Amino acid sequence: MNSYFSFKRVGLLIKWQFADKQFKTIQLIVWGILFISFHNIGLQMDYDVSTMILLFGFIFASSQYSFFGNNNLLVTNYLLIPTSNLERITVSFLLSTVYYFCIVSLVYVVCNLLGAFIGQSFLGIHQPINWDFFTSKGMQVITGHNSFKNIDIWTLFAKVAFLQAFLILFAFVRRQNLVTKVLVALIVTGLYFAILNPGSYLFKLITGNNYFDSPNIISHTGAMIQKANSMIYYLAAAILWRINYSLLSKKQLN
Amino acid sequence: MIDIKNVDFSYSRNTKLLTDLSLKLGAGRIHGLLGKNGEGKSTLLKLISGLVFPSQGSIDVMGFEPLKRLPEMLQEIFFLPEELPQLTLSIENYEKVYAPFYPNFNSEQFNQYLKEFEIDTKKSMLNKLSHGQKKKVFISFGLATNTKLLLMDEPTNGLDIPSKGQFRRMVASAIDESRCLIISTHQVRDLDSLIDSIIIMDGHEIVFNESIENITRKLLFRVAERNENDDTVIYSEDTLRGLYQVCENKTATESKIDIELLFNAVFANKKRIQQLFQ
Repeated sequence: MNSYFSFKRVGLLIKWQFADKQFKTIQLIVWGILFISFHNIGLQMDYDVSTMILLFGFIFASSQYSFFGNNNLLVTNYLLIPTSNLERITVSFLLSTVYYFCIVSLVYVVCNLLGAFIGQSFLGIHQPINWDFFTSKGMQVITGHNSFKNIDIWTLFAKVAFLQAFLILFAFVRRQNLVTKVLVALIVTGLYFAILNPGSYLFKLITGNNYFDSPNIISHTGAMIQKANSMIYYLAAAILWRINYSLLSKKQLN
Repeated sequence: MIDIKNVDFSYSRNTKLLTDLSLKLGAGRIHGLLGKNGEGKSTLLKLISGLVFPSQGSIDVMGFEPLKRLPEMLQEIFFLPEELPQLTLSIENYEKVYAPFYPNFNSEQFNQYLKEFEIDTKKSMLNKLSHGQKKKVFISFGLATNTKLLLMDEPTNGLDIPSKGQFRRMVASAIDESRCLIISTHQVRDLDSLIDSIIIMDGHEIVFNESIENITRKLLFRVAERNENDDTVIYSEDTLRGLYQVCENKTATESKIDIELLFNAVFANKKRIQQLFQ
C-alpha cells in the first residue's frame, strides 16, 4: 500500500465529498445562479462573467473547508478519514479547480445554447451561438486576451488554481464567520486586479498598448512579459497549494 | 500497541494539560480510562488518534507516528467522540461512503449490531436521530470496522439502561487478541465486568494503570460492619448497607472490583495505592 497517495482513496474521498448534502446544496446554488447569469449572456445582456466566476469560485472553495472555522466535530470526522494529507489536498485541488473550471464551461455552453434557442424561438432575437467563452469583456480581465484562440489555457487554469488556493488558505488559518469570508473574497478579488495581474500593466507601460486590446501586435518584449506573467501564476498557484498542504498537515483540533 | 513516552501537551501557551505522560497499552484488552473532568482523558485519545500533536515526547501507535495521519494507521483506528457530528447522510449512505475506507469492515456485523440496538431501518437520516440512537449507529459501525484500535470517549452517554447492557455484551464479543479498546468515561459503573485494565488520570498525569488481575490480587473490596476497621483499610465509604472498603489483600481473597470505589480510593489515598502496586 502506498502511504501517501492512492487513486482509489482519492476516488473514495471525492465520493465522500459529493455525499455531503451541504456540499451538494452549495453546488446547486452556485450552478443555478451561474446558469441564470450565463443565460442572460446568451441573450446579449451585459453581465460581468469574470466577477461571477470569481465570486462563485470563492463560495465553492470556502464551502469545502467551511467546518474548519467553527465545527470541531466535522474537523474530527474529516481528519480521521483514512486518507493521507496529500490525498485530501489533491481532492480539494481537483474539486475547486478542475471540476469547478469544467462545470463553469459546461454550464456556459448549455446556457448559451438555451439562450440562443429561447431568444430565437420566443423573443425574435437572432443571436448567434457564442462558443467562445472567453470573448466577453469580463473574461478578458481574467484571461488577458480577447479571444479563446490567443489564450494559454494552462495560464488561465493556473490563475483559477491560484485564486482558489488563496481562498481555501483562509479556512485553515482563521476562525471566520461568513461576513469575514465575504470581505476576504472581495480583498482577494481586489488584490487580483490590482497587484496580481502585473503583466498587463507592464505591457501597457512598455508597449503603450492595452494588454487586452492587442493580442495580434505582440512584440518580442510583449511576448516575454506575457510569458513572465504566466510563470508568476504557475509559481504562485504551486506555492499556495503547497502552503495549503502544509497547513492541512499541521491542522489540529482547537 | 500504544507506547507514549514523556508527552507534554497544552492547548494554550500558559497552561499545560498533560505533563511528562508515559503509558504503554497492549492488544487484546479493554482499557478503562477514568478521571475527573478536565484531566485530559479526551485529549489523550485525541493524541493517540493524531487529532492533536504533543509539544514534547513521542507517541507510537502500531508502529506509526499519529501526527502523520497515515492511511495505514487511520484505517486501523476508529475513534468515537463524545459528541457526534451532524452528518446529512442516511445510515445506509454513511456505510456506503465510509466503509470502503476500512479494509476489514464487515457489513453483516454492522447489520447485526444495529439489530441488537433495535435500529430497524438504515434509511433514517443520521441528523434526525436522537443522540442515543446516533451513538448506537456509530458504536455499531466502529465495532464492524474491525480496526485494531478502538477509542471510545464516553460511549455510554445518551444510551438508555437496556442499551448499556447491550453495549457491554457487544463490546465483549467484538474484542479479540488482536484488538485493543480504550474507553474513556465518567460513568464507571457502565464498565463493570467489561474492562481488563484500569487507567486513572489525576493532576494531568496517569496515577494508576493496572490490570484487573493485579488489582484483585493486591486489593480487597468488601462491605464491612461499622466497627470493623483495621490497618489494611485504604479507603472506606459509609453507606446505608455498611462500610464499603478497599483494603490491602493480604489473605489472597478474590473479590469483585467496585470501580467507583477504587476510583475514589485512588484519589483519597494515592500514595499508598501506588506504593502497593510498585
